[in-house]
Amino acid sequence: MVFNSLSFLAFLALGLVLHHLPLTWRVRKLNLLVASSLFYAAWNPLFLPLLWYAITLDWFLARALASARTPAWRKALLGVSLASNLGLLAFFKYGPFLADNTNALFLALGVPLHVPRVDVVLPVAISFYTFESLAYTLDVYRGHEKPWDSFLDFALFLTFFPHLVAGPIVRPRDFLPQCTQPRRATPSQLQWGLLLLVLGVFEKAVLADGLLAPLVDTVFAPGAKPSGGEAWSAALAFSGQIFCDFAGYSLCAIGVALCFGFHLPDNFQSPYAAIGFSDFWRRWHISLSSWLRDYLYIPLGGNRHGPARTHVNLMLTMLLGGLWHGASWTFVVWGGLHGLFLIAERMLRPLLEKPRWARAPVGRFAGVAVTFVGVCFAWVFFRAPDFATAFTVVRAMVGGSGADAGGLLSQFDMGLAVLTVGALLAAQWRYRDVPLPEVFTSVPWWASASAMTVMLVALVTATGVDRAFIYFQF
Amino acid sequence: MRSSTSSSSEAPASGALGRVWWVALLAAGVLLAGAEWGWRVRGFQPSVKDTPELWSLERARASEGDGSAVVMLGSSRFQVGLVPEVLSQALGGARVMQLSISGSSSLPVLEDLAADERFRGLVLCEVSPTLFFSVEPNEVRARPASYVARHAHRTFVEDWETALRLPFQEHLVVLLSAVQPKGVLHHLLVNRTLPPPPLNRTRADRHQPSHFEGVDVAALRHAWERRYQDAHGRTPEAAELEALLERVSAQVERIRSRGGEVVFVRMVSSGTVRRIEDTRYPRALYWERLLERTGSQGLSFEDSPALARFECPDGSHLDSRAATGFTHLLGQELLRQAPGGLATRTP
Repeated sequence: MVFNSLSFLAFLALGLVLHHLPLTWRVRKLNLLVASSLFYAAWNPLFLPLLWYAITLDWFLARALASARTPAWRKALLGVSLASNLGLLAFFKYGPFLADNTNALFLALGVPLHVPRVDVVLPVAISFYTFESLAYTLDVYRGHEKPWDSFLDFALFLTFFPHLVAGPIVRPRDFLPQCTQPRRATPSQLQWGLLLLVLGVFEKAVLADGLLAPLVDTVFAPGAKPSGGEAWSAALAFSGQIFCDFAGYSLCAIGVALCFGFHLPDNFQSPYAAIGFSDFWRRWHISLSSWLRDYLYIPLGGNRHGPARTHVNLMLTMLLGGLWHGASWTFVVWGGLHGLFLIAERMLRPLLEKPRWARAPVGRFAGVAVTFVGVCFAWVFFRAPDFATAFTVVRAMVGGSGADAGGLLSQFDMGLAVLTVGALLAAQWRYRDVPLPEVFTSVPWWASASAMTVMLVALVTATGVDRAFIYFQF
Repeated sequence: MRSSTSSSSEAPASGALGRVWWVALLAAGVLLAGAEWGWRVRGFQPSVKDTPELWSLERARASEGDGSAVVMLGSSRFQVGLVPEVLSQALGGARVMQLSISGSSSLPVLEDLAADERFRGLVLCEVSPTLFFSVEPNEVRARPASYVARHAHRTFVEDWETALRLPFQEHLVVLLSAVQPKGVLHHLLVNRTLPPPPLNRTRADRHQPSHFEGVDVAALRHAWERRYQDAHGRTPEAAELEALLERVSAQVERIRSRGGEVVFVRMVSSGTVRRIEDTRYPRALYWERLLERTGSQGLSFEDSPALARFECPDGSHLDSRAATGFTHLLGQELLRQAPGGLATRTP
């Protein structure tokens, strides 16, 4: 059940009616929990027990952690949580990938062994709820949080349907305290939540799926031979597609949660207006980048042990961040490229911060442009189904396409993609550090109404191919 | 690093939210109503999307009840040329399902029905020679096979979603792919005119009435001729044909063993398209061998003077005005031949 579907609208309407009935807070939380489980089961009921296993195990482990007397016992309990969560993730998400690579290594070394490959269906949302659950046990282990005293609240924290499938990756401390007091959306919260839902679905269904995805799919199809212009158009279009797809999903999640009176954290803040790559990662998929910072980069030592170790930590974090997205070396390369960008930025920072022109508008604009081009280039490896396709696109981008290349895209499609992404960049630059509610209040009401009208009409008439949200596969 | 506290979910303090919503809903309603009227004036009609999910709903119906449905299995020739309610009437009120998939071989779906223990009905299996006898594992097989696979793994939510969308798609022109803003803009820029109504539309029962009036049929005919000459796979070698006939025969036998029946049907084709088909797939070597090997009844338009007089404007498909009469005559012909058990399929 995706946000851009009629069945979801029916589900949401029913959920809101139930949530606004004059029932006790406990019963209404129970309703949300049942609704969230049904929402998850709609994808594949077989994986519901897996989700509940993670909930139950970490609930009891956290309680045991809080009452554990010895460091060794605490470490053992944390080890169980890590092994269970990461083990499930490794089995379902990385099992075939690990088997293939192990076998390739054995073959290269001449070792007469073969690891059997078990193809399993990836349970939807496993990457997201695993990280949320791990955050809880790690926070309790470190003593940052006490174990929550209500199993119902904890189960709702992990299963709450707006963020369940593709984030934002919610932290326990941001969500659990919201469960203590009865919550219902005020009329303005309901109106704002629904507006965010419309905006999110518009980004997804109209911009990402309708305008950009067809062009991207054509150029990134295996065997396609794009010209330089087509390759750059596709890289640019995918930059727009993945932002509109994922930021659109996040907006939907935030909006839907608000309709029930819950607040979810922001996941994007004008990432394509970032000046530098560290700034980009403060703005892109914020809930994942902050998770990786707090639970991986800082525990590895962060930047506390000198430049060399800092660079190693940065690279490790980005490589694992890349791998989190999927069991493929192309994702690892994407993460590695961002690791390199971040290291290069750290090394060049002293040089770049001194000149006065760097702080002037032209310097800031140059910073945005360089960052965006680097991000675009890295996206090629993220989107390509394999290295052959990625290198074909990269070759074309640097002017190495053959004489037989081109003819894949019409001028109209390329122009539309460039216009769409150009408008997106301009909007992000204009509202670089302005939260969405402030954007809304800063424009006249009739301009908001006009934009809303356009979005509603476009949503009704944009009847393209239904595509799943990109991050559902992660 | 930005803090994880939310800012987007703080509703703006401005009191304009309600006004924005009401004005936007009203304006969007007016704009959509205007567009609906405008497109209808230009001759556009609503059409549902012929998706794998819609096919899946129809496929599920084929196994419902006592499984004694009449199932149409084939390509676009069946979808365009046979009118389900007319066929149902001609067969005395039988439950009729349209499981044809345009540009596809009937085989993958025939195998799916044969494997379905609940199905014990009558299969009208269209034999479009270039699709049915082609041997290479190309799109003509892959597409229906993907429909079958999706059906096997579908979720109840997908069925709901399709069922929820149908009434809107059946009644609203603004939901047509042909009037999407992007496509209309492209057409305007290239041709300096608004797009014409589509040649055909899809109904909820998956019938696709086609209107060739005012259409450049010469260009269409030429396109079909090229396609039938070059595409749709390779003509099979003797051993390959033998294997294919063996495969079909086994499926027919499985359906028959449960009390079902398979009747092969050759839809009308005209002009050069027909000549290409007859040249590439001579009747004696293919059609007659198929009937002989399976022991099934066959109903070819060539063998019925009443059916043979129909013409396909584009060489491959019937016009909607002809489809009703053709379907009625085909139904009568089926009853006249009375294949085993057909009479029992009428309520």
